[in-house]
Amino acid sequence: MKKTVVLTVNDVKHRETLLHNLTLLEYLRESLGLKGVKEGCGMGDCAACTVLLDEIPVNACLTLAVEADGCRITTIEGLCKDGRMSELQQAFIEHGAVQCGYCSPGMILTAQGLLAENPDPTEPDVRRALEGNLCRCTGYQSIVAAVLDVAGKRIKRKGSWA
Amino acid sequence: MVNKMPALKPFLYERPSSLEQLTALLADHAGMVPGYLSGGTDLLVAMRTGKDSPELVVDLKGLPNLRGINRCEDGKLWIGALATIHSLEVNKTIRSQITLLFEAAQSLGSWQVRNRGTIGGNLANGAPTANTAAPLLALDAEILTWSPVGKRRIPVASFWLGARKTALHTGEIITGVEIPLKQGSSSAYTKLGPRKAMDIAIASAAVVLSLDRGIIQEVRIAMGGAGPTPLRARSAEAYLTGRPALAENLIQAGKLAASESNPRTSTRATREYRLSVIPVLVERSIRSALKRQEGLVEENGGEDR
Repeated sequence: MKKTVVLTVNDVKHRETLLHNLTLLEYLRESLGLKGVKEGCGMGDCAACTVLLDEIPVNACLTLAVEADGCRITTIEGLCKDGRMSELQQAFIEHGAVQCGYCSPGMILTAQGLLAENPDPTEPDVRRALEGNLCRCTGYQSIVAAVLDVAGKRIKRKGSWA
Repeated sequence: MVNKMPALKPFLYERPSSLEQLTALLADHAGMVPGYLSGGTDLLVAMRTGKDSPELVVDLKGLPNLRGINRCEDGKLWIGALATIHSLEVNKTIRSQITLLFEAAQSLGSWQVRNRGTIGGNLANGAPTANTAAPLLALDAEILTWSPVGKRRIPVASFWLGARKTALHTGEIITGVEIPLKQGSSSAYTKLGPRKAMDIAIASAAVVLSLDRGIIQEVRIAMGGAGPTPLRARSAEAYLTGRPALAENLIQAGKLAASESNPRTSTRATREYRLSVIPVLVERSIRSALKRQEGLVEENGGEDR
C-alpha cells in the first residue's frame, strides 16, 4: 500500500509515492541516497539515525516516511552550505570529536537542535541533550567540548557586536 | 548494510483528520484491531521486534483538539493526549506545580524519544513502569477517552487492569488527562534504572503530600515496577497521615510500601532486588517532597532559593 506525500529534505521538495511501511530512515538512505543517516539499533536506543524533523531531533528509525508528509527534514548532508561545513561540523573536527564517525551525524544534528532551542547551554544541558546518542569509541568528552565551543563562540560574537 | 534491520511488515496506514473520519475508518475495518500511532516510540519498536503486527495503523496526529496543555476553569490542568513528553518537561505550570510529572518526563528515554513520544501513548501502552503512570496515579488524575460509542472519564486508579492491560476498549483512544492542581502540596518522582538516560525503570516511586506544622496532612504514594500495574501504597499512606515527618516514620512508610508490592523477576531485575529498593525509592521521594514543602513556605514570604 502506498501514499503520496511531499517531503522537504535539505531544502529540496520531493513529491513521492511511498510504501506505508517504509521508515523515514529507509527512505532517506535508500531512496535519496543520504548515507549520512546511520542505522544503529533500529529501535530508538542509539540515536545514530537522528534527523531534524521541522528543526526537532527525532529518531528516523521510529518515524514512518508517510508520517513526515508536509515536514521539513534536515540530514547531516544539509548542514553543508556552498561546500562549507557548519560551525558544529568544523568544531567536531577541531576537537577530534570524531573517531569511527558512525555516531557523528546524529550527534551533530542533535547538538544543532539543542543550539536552536537553547543558544546558551551549560555543560549539563549539552550532556542531557546528547544522553540518548551512543558513541562506542567513547569520545563523549571531546564531543561535549565541541558543542560548548560553538555555543561559547556564538555568545562571544554576540557580545562583541553589542 | 550487513546487519540491516528487516523492513516493517506491510500494513495499511491511515491518518484521519476528524473523529467522524476515525469512526468511519473503524467501521470500514471492523474486525481489525487498529494499531494507534502517536509518537511511534513504543509502537514502531513493538512492530520491529514482532511483538505487535497491526494490519491497520491509524495515525492520531491528524485529529484536532488532542494537543496542548491548558488550565481549566475548575482549577485542573488538562494535557492533550498528543502532548509530547518534551512539552511536559518545558511547561511552566508542570515545572512549578507538578514537580513529579516534570521529573518523570525529564527522565524518560532520550531527547529524541521525548520529542516524539506522547503522554497518551505512554499511558495507553500500559507498562507498569511507564514514567508518567505512577505520577498520575499519585496525582489522582483522570484519563479522558473517546470511542465511536461515546466519551469516558476514567480515574487513573481504575485504568490499569493487569500487565499491559488497560481499561481501553478496542478502538478507544485517550484524548487527554486531567490533573487536579492543589495549593500547598508538593511532590517528587524517583526512578531507579541502570543508566540515568534511556533506561526503563526497574522501579519508581511518586509522592504527593501536604504538610502542616511538621505533620503530614495528605499523602499519596504510587509505585511503578512494584507489580503488574502501577500501584498505590495505601497502607503506607494511611500510616503517614497525621504523623510527624520524622525519619523513623518515613522508613516505616517505605517498609509498608514494599509489603504492598508484588514485583516480578524480569530481565531488568529480580523480584528480591525490587523489593529491597522499593522502600528506598519511596523514602527518597517522600524526603524530596518534604524538602519542597520548605520551598513552598519560602515562596510565601521567605527568601528566594
